[in-house]
Amino acid sequence: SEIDVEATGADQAVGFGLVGFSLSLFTYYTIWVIVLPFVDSDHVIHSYFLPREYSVILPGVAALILLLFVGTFIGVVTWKNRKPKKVD
Amino acid sequence: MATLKLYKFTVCAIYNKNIIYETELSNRNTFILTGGFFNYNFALHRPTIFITMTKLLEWLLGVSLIGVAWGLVTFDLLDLQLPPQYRELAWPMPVYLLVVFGCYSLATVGYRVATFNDCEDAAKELQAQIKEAKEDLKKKGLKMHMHVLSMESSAVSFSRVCICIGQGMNTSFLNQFFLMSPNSESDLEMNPLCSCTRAAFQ
Repeated sequence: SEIDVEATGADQAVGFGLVGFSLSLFTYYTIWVIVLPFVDSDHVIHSYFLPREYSVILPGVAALILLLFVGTFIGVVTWKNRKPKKVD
Repeated sequence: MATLKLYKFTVCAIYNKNIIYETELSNRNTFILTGGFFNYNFALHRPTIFITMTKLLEWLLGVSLIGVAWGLVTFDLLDLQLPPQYRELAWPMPVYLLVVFGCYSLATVGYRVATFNDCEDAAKELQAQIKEAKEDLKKKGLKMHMHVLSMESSAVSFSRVCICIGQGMNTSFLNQFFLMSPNSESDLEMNPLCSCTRAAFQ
C-alpha cells in the first residue's frame, strides 16, 4: 500500500504562490472596477489606481501578449519537431 | 387569383420534455422558425413545431440576454437615466468577468498543484520492479526497451503507470492501468505515439 506524502516543497511554493497572486489580482481589480465608482472623487484611495479606461485596456493588452506568447511557443515547438518525410 | 389557405399552427417550446411555452401562430404572421421540428399534433388537430431546447441553445439564450442587458445599460439605448455610478460600473463588466474567470482558473490550478500527492515510495518500488523484469527478460534472450512514461497518483491512492515495451519494430503494451497520452520524454524516440490502454501483456 502506498503512503501519500505531501507535495514537494517546490510544488507547494509554486502552487500557493499562484493562489496568492490570483487572490491579490482579484482584490485589486475588484476594488478598481466595482468599488471606486461609489467612492467620492476627492478620496485619497483614487491615487492608488489608474484612470478607469486602463481597467479595460490593460487586460486587453495582457490577453494580446498571452496570445502572442502561446502562438510563438506553438510555432517554435512545431518547427523543432518537423521531420523530413521518409522515402521508402 | 388563387387564395392562400390560412394555416394555423401551434409552437411549443419544450424544456426537459415539458412544454413550457405554447403559442398559436398562423402563416400570415410567421416566416422563420429555425431549430424546429415540424410535426402534426393529433391531439390539437393542427400542425405543430417543436423547438427542442438543447444545452447549446440554453447557453446562447442566456448569453445573448445578458449581452442585450449590458448593451442597453452601457449605450443607454432606452434612456433609462441611471445614476452615473451604475453606468460607470456596467461598461467594463465583460472584461471584468473575464479577468475574474482567469483569476479563478489560476487559483484552482495553483491550489491543486500545491496539494497534489506524490508517491515517492511507490515510484522507487516500481523502478526497481522494472529493472528486475528487464534483467529477467534479458536472460530469456529478448532484447527489450522499457520506459516508464508517466506516473501519477491521486488522493484515492492508486497510481497510473504506463510502460511501453518495444522489441525492434514490434511494440506490445504491458499495462494494467489507463493513460491518455505519454509524457514528452526525449528518449522515447522508438515510439513517440505510444498510447496505452487497458490490455494484457501479449
